[in-house]
Amino acid sequence: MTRYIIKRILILIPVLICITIMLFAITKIMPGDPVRAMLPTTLKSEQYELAYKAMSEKMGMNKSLPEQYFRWLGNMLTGELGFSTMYKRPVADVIAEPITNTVILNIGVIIIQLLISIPVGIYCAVKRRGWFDNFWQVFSLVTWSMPSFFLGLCLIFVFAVHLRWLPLGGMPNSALFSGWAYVGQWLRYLILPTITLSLISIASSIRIIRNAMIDALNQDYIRTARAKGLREKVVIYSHAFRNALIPVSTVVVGTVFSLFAGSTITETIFAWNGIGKVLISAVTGRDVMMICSMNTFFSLISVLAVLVSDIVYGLIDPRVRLS
Amino acid sequence: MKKLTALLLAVLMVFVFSACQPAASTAPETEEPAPAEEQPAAPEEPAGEEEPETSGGSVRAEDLTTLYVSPGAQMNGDFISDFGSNAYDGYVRDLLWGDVATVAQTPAGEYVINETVVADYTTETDDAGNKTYTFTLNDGLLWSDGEPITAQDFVFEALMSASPEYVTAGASSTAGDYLLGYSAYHDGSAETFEGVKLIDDKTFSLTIAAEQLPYFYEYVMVRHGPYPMHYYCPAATIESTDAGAKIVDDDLEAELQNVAQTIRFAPEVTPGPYKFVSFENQIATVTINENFCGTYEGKQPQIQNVVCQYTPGETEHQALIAGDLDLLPNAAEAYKVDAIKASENCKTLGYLRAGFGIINFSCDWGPTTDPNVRWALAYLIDRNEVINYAFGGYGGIVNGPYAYAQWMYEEAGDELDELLVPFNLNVDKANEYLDQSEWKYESDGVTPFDATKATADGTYLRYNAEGEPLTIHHVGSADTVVTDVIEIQYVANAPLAGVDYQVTKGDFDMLLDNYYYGYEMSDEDRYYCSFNMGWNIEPAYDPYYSYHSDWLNTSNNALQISDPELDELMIKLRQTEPGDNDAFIDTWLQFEKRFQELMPCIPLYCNEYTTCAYETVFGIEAITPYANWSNVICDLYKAAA
Repeated sequence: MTRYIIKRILILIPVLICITIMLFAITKIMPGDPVRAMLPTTLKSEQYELAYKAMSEKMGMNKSLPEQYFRWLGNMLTGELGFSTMYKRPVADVIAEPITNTVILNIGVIIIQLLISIPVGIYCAVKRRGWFDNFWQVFSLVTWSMPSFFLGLCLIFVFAVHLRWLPLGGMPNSALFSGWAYVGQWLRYLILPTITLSLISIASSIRIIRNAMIDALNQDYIRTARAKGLREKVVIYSHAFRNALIPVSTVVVGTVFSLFAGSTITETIFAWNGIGKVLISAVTGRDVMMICSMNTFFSLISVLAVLVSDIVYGLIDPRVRLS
Repeated sequence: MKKLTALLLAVLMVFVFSACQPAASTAPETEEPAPAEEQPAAPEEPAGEEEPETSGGSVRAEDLTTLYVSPGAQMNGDFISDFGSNAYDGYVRDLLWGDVATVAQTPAGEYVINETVVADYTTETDDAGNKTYTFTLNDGLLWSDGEPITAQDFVFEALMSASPEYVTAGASSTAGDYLLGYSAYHDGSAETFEGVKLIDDKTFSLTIAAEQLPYFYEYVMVRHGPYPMHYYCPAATIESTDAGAKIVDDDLEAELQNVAQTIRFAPEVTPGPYKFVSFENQIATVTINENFCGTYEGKQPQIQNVVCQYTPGETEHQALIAGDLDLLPNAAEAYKVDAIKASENCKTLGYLRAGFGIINFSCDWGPTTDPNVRWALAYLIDRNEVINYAFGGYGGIVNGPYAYAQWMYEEAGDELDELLVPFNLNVDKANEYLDQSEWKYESDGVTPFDATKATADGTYLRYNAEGEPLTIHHVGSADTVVTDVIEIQYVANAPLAGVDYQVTKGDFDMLLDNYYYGYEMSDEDRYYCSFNMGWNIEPAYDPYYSYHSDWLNTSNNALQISDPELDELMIKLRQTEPGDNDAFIDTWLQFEKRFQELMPCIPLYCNEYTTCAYETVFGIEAITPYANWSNVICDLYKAAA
């Protein structure tokens, strides 16, 4: 198993290096001058020249491309993610708060998703074509087909505009609330985006778990287990669910690593100051270093998710590591 | 199964349709304009002393101690102006720094000596023509931390803003650039700033360089406020001699880096009506500064806290109607304004903005080099339709680079309207102009173009003698409907004059890159010659920096317009003696006329901004296009509706 893990890690190193080179190259190909983007257009020409020179040195743009790349890579490894041209401050400072907010939002979503989708998916498979299964099939089909912005706006109109039970969007303000009142504010603002994201994610994971369980329940060893007179609970959870775990583990590992991935549309609609909203602002504002650093970060997360998935596969199914 | 599916879908549809009903449907339907708001009695006690109520309805609507404002877009959190140009940060910056300066700006856009700050001032002109203003400060001016504001702080602001160390720290400031010795001090070749002198704790002087005078808006040149020297650079002192002043501080560079990296996001010592509390998650919170000296009229703020919170543009009007927001300044979209006007619990105040929308042309490159082409394009767009489409009719047409809010227009608007050509969609006129340009042939470059053959499908175009078609590459921001209507208009009208008008919708930065720095691009890389954007007009109107040939091949004169007559008029305009309003207006009229003759840009509209407030907010009638937000806030108060 150790050899298997080391082999997987070694494969990932060149992948990561290639990703960083590609991302760095993309930032250099992108139109626009990042130094110029840092300066106001109101400066008079002599002021502009001085400011341009100072900013260029500060951002390291006066160095050669390889120097810039290795400087950037070295900085990334030490946690320095570069300087945002849009926010005019270090990327790490800009994303610290949004990434925390995204994690907070996603923790709620993941808990709801796993708590609902695993038992429901299993029960749907066991009671296939019953009313319970039919209900969740329709539910998952409708919510999975529905764009998140539409669902989010519907919830806003019902609960914020018509009923006025919840705020339209935004974040709690620690300057005006403290203690339990502040916690209460967090919950008020969290409810609608959490419901939106949960409904969408539940839809897909229920279907995956249900189908994996149906496949497992159709296997010969299940028939054998039942013929041996084992209790149905033992058949389902010890035999069928364990064998259905490979696709389920993909969902679970993917979900856990998606903690850091922001939902651009939902966060924008609900004015949730998350990483997805920051990323889309960076793209529209052509904030090169922000895009580059965040994509590197997300690539790293994805690569780690793949690595963990592979390890989990190996643990669950010995055939995988032997092959 | 089918019944269950049908039932579920029916429930879903009911949910969706109920959700999509307009919120304003509870308001009475009427085509009459909203009734004028009544002026309520002022609250007997400052609202700030009340405790927020939190039971029932919107928590915010019932909280009379806090004003919730939507800045309109995301803030960056730059609360010292020299580090960022995000206009939305300005809502907080203005509250923190106020108009605490030697010169204040009135709601009409005039500049006056700020008597709340300045006890006395004198002027003196030396033999070389340099003019020195000596200011004596009032007693009792305090920073938000209780420390006194002294003349050193004013001198420190002028020196720090112009210093090379400040530039190295990443700041970009134009403060002090009219003063004597600015260039030498700014580029580091002089140790002292000749035009700035500290006389004593209460007195300092600023000397305007002779070559900058006369200047109509002379007060602007000496409009300086204080920076908290004890907070930014605790180790610094000011050394002032006859040769000028300088900052003496061994740690200056490190301290300014600290300003750039830390203080600018949370300035704790400021002089304005409010002081900083926090900025987190796109929410900036400020609270009353008890030490604020008052506006230039001596007013103090009445609302205890102000929260500037980003609200998505799509739902900000709903947030106001729901009471989640108290103030939505400068709403421009008709659907928002109409929804707010239709609601029973909001009030509005509309005014034409201090600016206009335009199509700018590159006057140094491409077909738009020729004024005939520019005029032809002006005759190929229906500007009324632009206003109707983009702003629901909330706005008016302008024929030059001016705004209805400018004092010159208020005084001589009728004269100007008679002077300028009120152009509008006229394909025949466009063809007349184009026949005088080099694009007057068919594709063979010889046969004269026949306007009667031109059709809307764009198959019959104009060519020059080299056989090149008349193609205009236009770029506009994809985020504005103005670009949409420009595309609609030109796609329909331009082919009728044989013009191939191609519109690209891109992000705003790409637009600005091509507009401001097109002159730096090679002919192969340069592509666009037409750009649509909005343009704000400062109260101190000085077109010199935007259109004078002194600024050719710089981003200041982005149009790259060069005309000796226009140059002369702009110099004459800025060099009008202060106070000689009649002479200024005469020159301004000539400038506007000449500008229109050259048509370096097509002025499209001056749209209306509407400030919208929740019913518990009073005092919005003090808002004008040129009102300073830090002064406006002192007129606002909250009370039960």
